Amino acid sequence: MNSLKILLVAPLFLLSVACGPSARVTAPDGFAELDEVDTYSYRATSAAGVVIGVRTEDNNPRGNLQFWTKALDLKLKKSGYTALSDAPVKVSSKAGLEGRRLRYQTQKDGRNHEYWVTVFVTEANVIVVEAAGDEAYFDAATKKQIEAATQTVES
Amino acid sequence: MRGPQAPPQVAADAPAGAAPRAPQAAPQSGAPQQQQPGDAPSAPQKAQAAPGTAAPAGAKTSTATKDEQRVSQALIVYTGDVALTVDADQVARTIDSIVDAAESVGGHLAGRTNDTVKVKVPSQRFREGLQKIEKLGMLTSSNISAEDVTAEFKDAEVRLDNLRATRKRLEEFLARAGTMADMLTVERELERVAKEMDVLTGRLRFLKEHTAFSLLTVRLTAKAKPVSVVVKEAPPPPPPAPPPPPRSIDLPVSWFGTLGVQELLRLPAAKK
Repeated sequence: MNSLKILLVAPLFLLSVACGPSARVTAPDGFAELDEVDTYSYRATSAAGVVIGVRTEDNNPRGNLQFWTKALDLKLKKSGYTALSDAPVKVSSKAGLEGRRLRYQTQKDGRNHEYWVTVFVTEANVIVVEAAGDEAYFDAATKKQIEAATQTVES
Repeated sequence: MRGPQAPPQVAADAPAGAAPRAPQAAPQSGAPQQQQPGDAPSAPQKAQAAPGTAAPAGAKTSTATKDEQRVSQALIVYTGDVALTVDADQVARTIDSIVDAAESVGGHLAGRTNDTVKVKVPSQRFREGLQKIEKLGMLTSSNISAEDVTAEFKDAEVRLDNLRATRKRLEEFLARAGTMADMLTVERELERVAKEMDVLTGRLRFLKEHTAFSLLTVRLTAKAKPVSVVVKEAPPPPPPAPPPPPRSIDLPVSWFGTLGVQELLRLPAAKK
Protein backbone atom coordinates (compact mmCIF):
# COMPACT_ATOMS: atom_id res chain seq x y z
CA MET A 1 0.00 0.00 0.00
CA ASN A 2 2.83 2.36 0.87
CA SER A 3 4.58 1.46 -2.31
CA LEU A 4 1.46 2.28 -4.21
CA LYS A 5 1.26 5.70 -2.59
CA ILE A 6 4.84 6.41 -3.46
CA LEU A 7 4.24 5.46 -7.05
CA LEU A 8 1.32 7.84 -7.26
CA VAL A 9 2.83 10.81 -5.41
CA ALA A 10 6.33 10.73 -6.87
CA PRO A 11 5.35 11.77 -10.43
CA LEU A 12 3.32 14.63 -9.08
CA PHE A 13 6.24 15.80 -6.98
CA LEU A 14 8.62 15.59 -9.89
CA LEU A 15 6.20 17.48 -12.09
CA SER A 16 5.85 20.21 -9.58
CA VAL A 17 9.58 20.55 -9.23
CA ALA A 18 10.11 20.66 -13.00
CA CYS A 19 7.49 23.30 -13.59
CA GLY A 20 8.48 25.36 -10.59
CA PRO A 21 6.17 27.35 -8.43
CA SER A 22 3.49 29.42 -10.15
CA ALA A 23 3.31 32.92 -8.76
CA ARG A 24 0.06 34.72 -8.43
CA VAL A 25 -1.42 37.83 -6.94
CA THR A 26 -4.60 38.59 -5.17
CA ALA A 27 -7.01 39.91 -7.72
CA PRO A 28 -8.10 43.48 -7.10
CA ASP A 29 -11.67 44.24 -6.41
CA GLY A 30 -13.67 44.35 -9.58
CA PHE A 31 -11.29 42.06 -11.43
CA ALA A 32 -12.22 38.61 -12.65
CA GLU A 33 -9.67 35.86 -12.76
CA LEU A 34 -9.06 34.23 -16.07
CA ASP A 35 -8.43 30.56 -16.09
CA GLU A 36 -6.32 30.58 -19.22
CA VAL A 37 -2.81 30.06 -17.92
CA ASP A 38 -0.71 29.11 -20.94
CA THR A 39 1.47 32.16 -20.78
CA TYR A 40 0.59 33.49 -17.38
CA SER A 41 0.53 31.81 -14.08
CA TYR A 42 -2.22 34.17 -13.14
CA ARG A 43 -4.33 36.62 -15.07
CA ALA A 44 -7.34 38.77 -14.21
CA THR A 45 -9.21 41.46 -15.99
CA SER A 46 -11.42 44.34 -15.06
CA ALA A 47 -14.71 44.89 -16.74
CA ALA A 48 -13.10 47.72 -18.72
CA GLY A 49 -10.32 45.50 -19.98
CA VAL A 50 -7.51 46.45 -17.66
CA VAL A 51 -5.64 43.20 -17.25
CA ILE A 52 -3.15 42.13 -14.69
CA GLY A 53 -1.10 39.03 -15.36
CA VAL A 54 1.71 37.18 -13.65
CA ARG A 55 4.43 35.23 -15.37
CA THR A 56 6.63 32.82 -13.58
CA GLU A 57 9.67 32.06 -15.66
CA ASP A 58 12.91 30.29 -15.00
CA ASN A 59 15.75 32.47 -13.93
CA ASN A 60 17.67 31.43 -16.98
CA PRO A 61 20.08 32.84 -17.77
CA ARG A 62 20.53 33.32 -14.13
CA GLY A 63 20.48 36.96 -13.28
CA ASN A 64 19.71 39.20 -10.41
CA LEU A 65 17.02 41.84 -10.19
CA GLN A 66 19.18 44.46 -11.85
CA PHE A 67 19.89 42.16 -14.77
CA TRP A 68 16.29 41.30 -15.45
CA THR A 69 15.07 44.82 -14.96
CA LYS A 70 17.53 46.06 -17.54
CA ALA A 71 16.84 43.18 -19.89
CA LEU A 72 13.11 43.80 -19.79
CA ASP A 73 13.55 47.53 -20.26
CA LEU A 74 15.75 47.08 -23.32
CA LYS A 75 13.43 44.51 -24.79
CA LEU A 76 10.36 46.68 -24.42
CA LYS A 77 12.02 49.83 -25.72
CA LYS A 78 13.32 47.88 -28.66
CA SER A 79 9.76 46.78 -29.31
CA GLY A 80 8.59 50.38 -29.44
CA TYR A 81 7.40 51.00 -25.94
CA THR A 82 7.94 54.47 -24.56
CA ALA A 83 9.12 54.68 -21.00
CA LEU A 84 7.01 56.88 -18.74
CA SER A 85 9.63 57.14 -16.07
CA ASP A 86 13.35 57.51 -16.14
CA ALA A 87 14.09 54.92 -13.56
CA PRO A 88 12.36 51.84 -12.32
CA VAL A 89 10.40 52.18 -9.14
CA LYS A 90 11.31 50.03 -6.23
CA VAL A 91 8.53 47.71 -5.15
CA SER A 92 8.35 45.41 -2.19
CA SER A 93 5.94 42.58 -1.95
CA LYS A 94 4.23 41.61 1.22
CA ALA A 95 6.10 38.33 1.04
CA GLY A 96 9.39 40.16 1.22
CA LEU A 97 10.35 40.08 -2.44
CA GLU A 98 12.03 43.13 -3.85
CA GLY A 99 11.04 44.20 -7.27
CA ARG A 100 11.24 46.97 -9.82
CA ARG A 101 8.35 48.55 -11.69
CA LEU A 102 8.73 49.94 -15.18
CA ARG A 103 5.99 52.02 -16.81
CA TYR A 104 5.49 52.43 -20.55
CA GLN A 105 3.07 53.76 -23.06
CA THR A 106 2.24 52.09 -26.32
CA GLN A 107 -0.37 52.08 -29.03
CA LYS A 108 -2.88 49.35 -29.56
CA ASP A 109 -5.70 49.58 -32.05
CA GLY A 110 -5.00 53.30 -32.41
CA ARG A 111 -5.41 53.94 -28.72
CA ASN A 112 -2.84 54.84 -26.13
CA HIS A 113 -2.35 52.11 -23.63
CA GLU A 114 -0.38 52.11 -20.43
CA TYR A 115 1.71 49.12 -19.65
CA TRP A 116 3.36 48.32 -16.34
CA VAL A 117 5.91 45.65 -15.73
CA THR A 118 7.04 44.73 -12.25
CA VAL A 119 9.79 42.19 -11.98
CA PHE A 120 10.76 40.10 -8.99
CA VAL A 121 13.68 37.71 -9.00
CA THR A 122 14.29 34.69 -6.88
CA GLU A 123 17.02 32.14 -7.12
CA ALA A 124 14.95 30.00 -9.39
CA ASN A 125 12.41 32.25 -10.97
CA VAL A 126 11.75 35.54 -12.61
CA ILE A 127 8.30 36.71 -11.65
CA VAL A 128 6.86 39.35 -13.90
CA VAL A 129 3.67 41.12 -12.98
CA GLU A 130 2.24 42.88 -16.03
CA ALA A 131 -0.67 45.26 -16.11
CA ALA A 132 -2.08 47.07 -19.11
CA GLY A 133 -5.15 48.82 -20.30
CA ASP A 134 -6.51 51.67 -22.32
CA GLU A 135 -5.36 54.98 -20.87
CA ALA A 136 -9.00 55.96 -20.44
CA TYR A 137 -9.50 53.11 -18.00
CA PHE A 138 -6.06 52.96 -16.54
CA ASP A 139 -7.04 55.65 -14.09
CA ALA A 140 -5.60 56.54 -10.71
CA ALA A 141 -7.91 54.23 -8.82
CA THR A 142 -7.07 51.33 -11.08
CA LYS A 143 -3.39 52.10 -10.71
CA LYS A 144 -3.71 51.90 -6.96
CA GLN A 145 -5.44 48.61 -7.31
CA ILE A 146 -2.67 47.34 -9.55
CA GLU A 147 0.00 48.53 -7.14
CA ALA A 148 -1.76 46.88 -4.26
CA ALA A 149 -2.29 43.66 -6.14
CA THR A 150 1.36 43.58 -7.21
CA GLN A 151 2.46 43.74 -3.61
CA THR A 152 0.54 40.56 -3.01
CA VAL A 153 2.69 38.56 -5.34
CA GLU A 154 3.80 35.29 -3.96
CA SER A 155 5.55 32.41 -5.49
CA MET B 1 39.22 158.10 -127.86
CA ARG B 2 38.96 155.52 -125.24
CA GLY B 3 36.69 152.59 -125.59
CA PRO B 4 34.12 151.60 -123.08
CA GLN B 5 35.49 151.98 -119.73
CA ALA B 6 36.48 148.70 -118.39
CA PRO B 7 34.52 147.76 -115.31
CA PRO B 8 36.58 147.99 -112.27
CA GLN B 9 37.86 144.79 -110.84
CA VAL B 10 36.65 144.91 -107.36
CA ALA B 11 37.74 142.54 -104.73
CA ALA B 12 36.12 142.33 -101.45
CA ASP B 13 39.25 142.10 -99.47
CA ALA B 14 41.28 144.45 -101.64
CA PRO B 15 39.02 146.98 -103.17
CA ALA B 16 40.60 149.15 -105.79
CA GLY B 17 40.52 152.85 -105.39
CA ALA B 18 39.67 152.89 -101.75
CA ALA B 19 41.45 151.83 -98.68
CA PRO B 20 39.64 149.27 -96.55
CA ARG B 21 37.66 150.89 -93.92
CA ALA B 22 38.38 150.16 -90.41
CA PRO B 23 35.53 148.25 -88.88
CA GLN B 24 33.09 150.31 -87.03
CA ALA B 25 32.81 149.98 -83.39
CA ALA B 26 30.31 147.40 -82.43
CA PRO B 27 27.11 148.88 -81.25
CA GLN B 28 26.10 148.25 -77.73
CA SER B 29 24.65 144.84 -77.36
CA GLY B 30 21.43 144.26 -75.66
CA ALA B 31 19.16 146.52 -77.62
CA PRO B 32 17.81 144.72 -80.61
CA GLN B 33 18.94 146.27 -83.80
CA GLN B 34 17.17 146.42 -87.06
CA GLN B 35 19.67 144.97 -89.41
CA GLN B 36 19.61 145.48 -93.11
CA PRO B 37 20.66 142.66 -95.33
CA GLY B 38 24.37 142.70 -95.45
CA ASP B 39 24.73 144.66 -92.30
CA ALA B 40 27.01 143.06 -89.83
CA PRO B 41 25.64 142.19 -86.50
CA SER B 42 27.16 144.14 -83.76
CA ALA B 43 29.81 142.50 -81.74
CA PRO B 44 28.53 141.51 -78.35
CA GLN B 45 30.24 143.63 -75.86
CA LYS B 46 29.23 141.54 -72.91
CA ALA B 47 30.78 138.33 -74.08
CA GLN B 48 34.27 139.57 -74.05
CA ALA B 49 35.99 138.85 -70.83
CA ALA B 50 36.02 135.68 -68.92
CA PRO B 51 32.63 134.31 -67.98
CA GLY B 52 31.19 135.91 -65.01
CA THR B 53 33.05 139.13 -65.32
CA ALA B 54 31.31 142.25 -66.28
CA ALA B 55 32.16 143.71 -69.63
CA PRO B 56 34.01 146.93 -69.45
CA ALA B 57 32.00 149.92 -70.29
CA GLY B 58 32.50 150.83 -73.89
CA ALA B 59 34.18 154.14 -74.30
CA LYS B 60 32.94 156.29 -77.05
CA THR B 61 35.52 158.92 -76.96
CA SER B 62 36.99 158.36 -80.33
CA THR B 63 37.23 155.87 -83.14
CA ALA B 64 40.80 155.04 -82.25
CA THR B 65 39.83 154.37 -78.69
CA LYS B 66 37.00 152.18 -79.85
CA ASP B 67 39.32 150.21 -82.06
CA GLU B 68 41.75 149.70 -79.26
CA GLN B 69 38.98 148.51 -77.02
CA ARG B 70 37.66 146.14 -79.58
CA VAL B 71 41.12 144.66 -79.97
CA SER B 72 41.42 144.20 -76.27
CA GLN B 73 37.94 142.72 -75.92
CA ALA B 74 38.11 138.99 -76.32
CA LEU B 75 35.12 137.28 -77.81
CA ILE B 76 34.93 133.83 -76.38
CA VAL B 77 32.42 131.09 -77.00
CA TYR B 78 31.85 129.07 -73.86
CA THR B 79 30.31 125.64 -73.82
CA GLY B 80 29.72 123.52 -70.81
CA ASP B 81 28.91 119.86 -70.40
CA VAL B 82 27.93 118.86 -66.92
CA ALA B 83 26.79 115.52 -65.54
CA LEU B 84 24.75 115.35 -62.40
CA THR B 85 23.49 112.40 -60.48
CA VAL B 86 20.14 112.74 -58.79
CA ASP B 87 17.60 110.47 -57.23
CA ALA B 88 15.70 108.41 -59.74
CA ASP B 89 12.43 110.13 -58.93
CA GLN B 90 13.97 113.60 -59.08
CA VAL B 91 15.18 113.66 -62.68
CA ALA B 92 12.25 115.55 -64.15
CA ARG B 93 12.11 117.91 -61.21
CA THR B 94 15.81 118.62 -61.46
CA ILE B 95 15.50 119.43 -65.14
CA ASP B 96 12.88 122.01 -64.26
CA SER B 97 15.16 123.41 -61.58
CA ILE B 98 18.00 123.69 -64.09
CA VAL B 99 15.79 125.66 -66.43
CA ASP B 100 14.76 127.87 -63.55
CA ALA B 101 18.39 128.43 -62.62
CA ALA B 102 19.24 129.36 -66.19
CA GLU B 103 16.33 131.77 -66.39
CA SER B 104 17.33 133.31 -63.08
CA VAL B 105 20.56 134.51 -64.69
CA GLY B 106 18.90 135.64 -67.86
CA GLY B 107 19.18 132.44 -69.78
CA HIS B 108 16.66 130.20 -71.41
CA LEU B 109 15.92 126.62 -72.33
CA ALA B 110 17.58 125.41 -75.51
CA GLY B 111 16.38 121.85 -75.53
CA ARG B 112 15.65 118.91 -73.35
CA THR B 113 15.12 115.21 -73.38
CA ASN B 114 14.18 112.87 -70.61
CA ASP B 115 17.59 113.04 -69.00
CA THR B 116 19.37 115.90 -70.71
CA VAL B 117 18.68 119.59 -70.73
CA LYS B 118 20.41 122.29 -72.71
CA VAL B 119 20.22 125.83 -71.51
CA LYS B 120 21.76 129.01 -72.76
CA VAL B 121 22.98 131.46 -70.21
CA PRO B 122 24.43 134.89 -70.76
CA SER B 123 28.15 134.48 -71.13
CA GLN B 124 28.91 137.15 -68.60
CA ARG B 125 26.87 135.16 -66.06
CA PHE B 126 28.02 131.77 -67.20
CA ARG B 127 29.92 131.00 -64.02
CA GLU B 128 27.03 132.09 -61.82
CA GLY B 129 24.60 129.94 -63.72
CA LEU B 130 26.97 127.01 -63.70
CA GLN B 131 27.39 127.21 -59.96
CA LYS B 132 23.63 127.25 -59.45
CA ILE B 133 23.13 124.26 -61.64
CA GLU B 134 25.93 122.26 -60.13
CA LYS B 135 24.21 122.51 -56.77
CA LEU B 136 21.11 120.73 -58.06
CA GLY B 137 22.66 117.31 -57.95
CA MET B 138 25.80 115.38 -57.29
CA LEU B 139 28.34 116.63 -59.80
CA THR B 140 29.96 113.68 -61.49
CA SER B 141 31.70 115.43 -64.37
CA SER B 142 32.13 118.91 -65.70
CA ASN B 143 33.70 119.89 -68.97
CA ILE B 144 33.91 123.57 -69.77
CA SER B 145 35.50 124.73 -73.00
CA ALA B 146 36.20 128.18 -74.32
CA GLU B 147 37.05 129.25 -77.84
CA ASP B 148 38.42 132.67 -78.60
CA VAL B 149 36.73 133.89 -81.75
CA THR B 150 37.87 137.49 -81.47
CA ALA B 151 40.17 137.31 -84.45
CA GLU B 152 37.61 135.63 -86.61
CA PHE B 153 34.96 138.11 -85.59
CA LYS B 154 37.09 141.14 -86.28
CA ASP B 155 38.31 139.74 -89.56
CA ALA B 156 34.77 139.18 -90.64
CA GLU B 157 33.84 142.65 -89.60
CA VAL B 158 36.69 144.18 -91.59
CA ARG B 159 35.84 142.13 -94.61
CA LEU B 160 32.22 143.12 -94.30
CA ASP B 161 33.11 146.77 -94.04
CA ASN B 162 35.25 146.49 -97.10
CA LEU B 163 32.46 144.79 -98.97
CA ARG B 164 30.15 147.61 -98.04
CA ALA B 165 32.63 150.09 -99.45
CA THR B 166 32.98 148.01 -102.55
CA ARG B 167 29.26 147.81 -102.94
CA LYS B 168 29.00 151.52 -102.61
CA ARG B 169 31.57 152.12 -105.31
CA LEU B 170 29.96 149.56 -107.58
CA GLU B 171 26.67 151.30 -107.15
CA GLU B 172 28.40 154.51 -108.19
CA PHE B 173 29.87 152.74 -111.19
CA LEU B 174 26.52 151.41 -112.07
CA ALA B 175 25.02 154.85 -111.98
CA ARG B 176 27.65 156.06 -114.37
CA ALA B 177 27.79 153.05 -116.65
CA GLY B 178 27.53 154.04 -120.25
CA THR B 179 26.93 150.77 -121.90
CA MET B 180 24.78 147.80 -121.27
CA ALA B 181 27.86 145.61 -121.07
CA ASP B 182 29.27 147.80 -118.33
CA MET B 183 26.00 147.69 -116.51
CA LEU B 184 25.87 143.88 -116.68
CA THR B 185 29.43 143.58 -115.51
CA VAL B 186 28.81 145.85 -112.56
CA GLU B 187 25.61 144.03 -111.73
CA ARG B 188 27.47 140.73 -111.60
CA GLU B 189 30.03 142.22 -109.30
CA LEU B 190 27.32 143.65 -107.09
CA GLU B 191 25.72 140.23 -106.90
CA ARG B 192 28.99 138.59 -105.94
CA VAL B 193 29.64 141.20 -103.31
CA ALA B 194 26.16 140.80 -101.90
CA LYS B 195 26.61 137.06 -101.57
CA GLU B 196 29.88 137.48 -99.74
CA MET B 197 28.28 140.02 -97.45
CA ASP B 198 25.46 137.63 -96.67
CA VAL B 199 27.91 134.90 -95.74
CA LEU B 200 29.88 137.20 -93.51
CA THR B 201 26.75 138.60 -91.96
CA GLY B 202 25.54 135.14 -91.09
CA ARG B 203 28.87 134.21 -89.59
CA LEU B 204 29.00 137.38 -87.54
CA ARG B 205 25.49 136.78 -86.29
CA PHE B 206 26.43 133.24 -85.32
CA LEU B 207 29.50 134.41 -83.45
CA LYS B 208 27.54 137.13 -81.76
CA GLU B 209 24.92 134.77 -80.53
CA HIS B 210 27.43 132.25 -79.29
CA THR B 211 29.50 134.80 -77.50
CA ALA B 212 26.48 136.44 -75.96
CA PHE B 213 25.02 133.20 -74.68
CA SER B 214 26.86 130.12 -73.67
CA LEU B 215 25.44 126.68 -74.15
CA LEU B 216 25.33 124.52 -71.10
CA THR B 217 24.37 120.90 -71.47
CA VAL B 218 23.42 119.06 -68.33
CA ARG B 219 23.12 115.33 -68.38
CA LEU B 220 21.28 113.74 -65.50
CA THR B 221 21.88 110.27 -64.24
CA ALA B 222 19.47 108.56 -61.91
CA LYS B 223 21.10 107.49 -58.73
CA ALA B 224 21.09 103.77 -58.46
CA LYS B 225 18.68 102.66 -55.83
CA PRO B 226 20.36 101.00 -52.97
CA VAL B 227 20.01 97.36 -53.40
CA SER B 228 19.04 95.65 -50.27
CA VAL B 229 21.32 92.77 -50.13
CA VAL B 230 19.79 89.97 -48.28
CA VAL B 231 22.59 88.02 -46.89
CA LYS B 232 21.27 84.65 -46.57
CA GLU B 233 22.60 83.05 -43.55
CA ALA B 234 24.14 79.77 -44.08
CA PRO B 235 21.56 77.13 -43.59
CA PRO B 236 21.82 75.63 -40.22
CA PRO B 237 23.77 72.50 -40.23
CA PRO B 238 21.61 69.49 -40.43
CA PRO B 239 20.78 68.11 -37.08
CA PRO B 240 23.13 65.45 -36.11
CA ALA B 241 22.00 62.10 -37.11
CA PRO B 242 20.25 60.38 -34.30
CA PRO B 243 22.48 57.97 -32.61
CA PRO B 244 21.96 54.46 -33.68
CA PRO B 245 19.69 52.50 -31.46
CA PRO B 246 21.45 50.95 -28.59
CA ARG B 247 22.83 47.66 -29.55
CA SER B 248 21.58 45.05 -27.22
CA ILE B 249 21.78 41.43 -27.72
CA ASP B 250 18.65 39.42 -27.95
CA LEU B 251 18.78 37.36 -24.86
CA PRO B 252 17.90 33.71 -25.35
CA VAL B 253 14.73 34.18 -23.37
CA SER B 254 11.79 32.67 -25.16
CA TRP B 255 9.12 34.34 -23.09
CA PHE B 256 10.34 37.78 -24.14
CA GLY B 257 8.50 37.12 -27.38
CA THR B 258 5.16 37.13 -25.60
CA LEU B 259 5.93 40.08 -23.42
CA GLY B 260 3.75 43.12 -23.84
CA VAL B 261 0.29 44.48 -24.27
CA GLN B 262 -0.75 42.35 -27.21
CA GLU B 263 -0.39 39.11 -25.35
CA LEU B 264 -1.56 40.42 -22.02
CA LEU B 265 -4.78 41.86 -23.37
CA ARG B 266 -5.56 38.93 -25.60
CA LEU B 267 -8.45 37.39 -23.81
CA PRO B 268 -9.25 33.70 -24.09
CA ALA B 269 -12.03 32.61 -26.30
CA ALA B 270 -15.42 32.48 -24.72
CA LYS B 271 -16.36 29.13 -23.41
CA LYS B 272 -19.56 27.46 -24.48
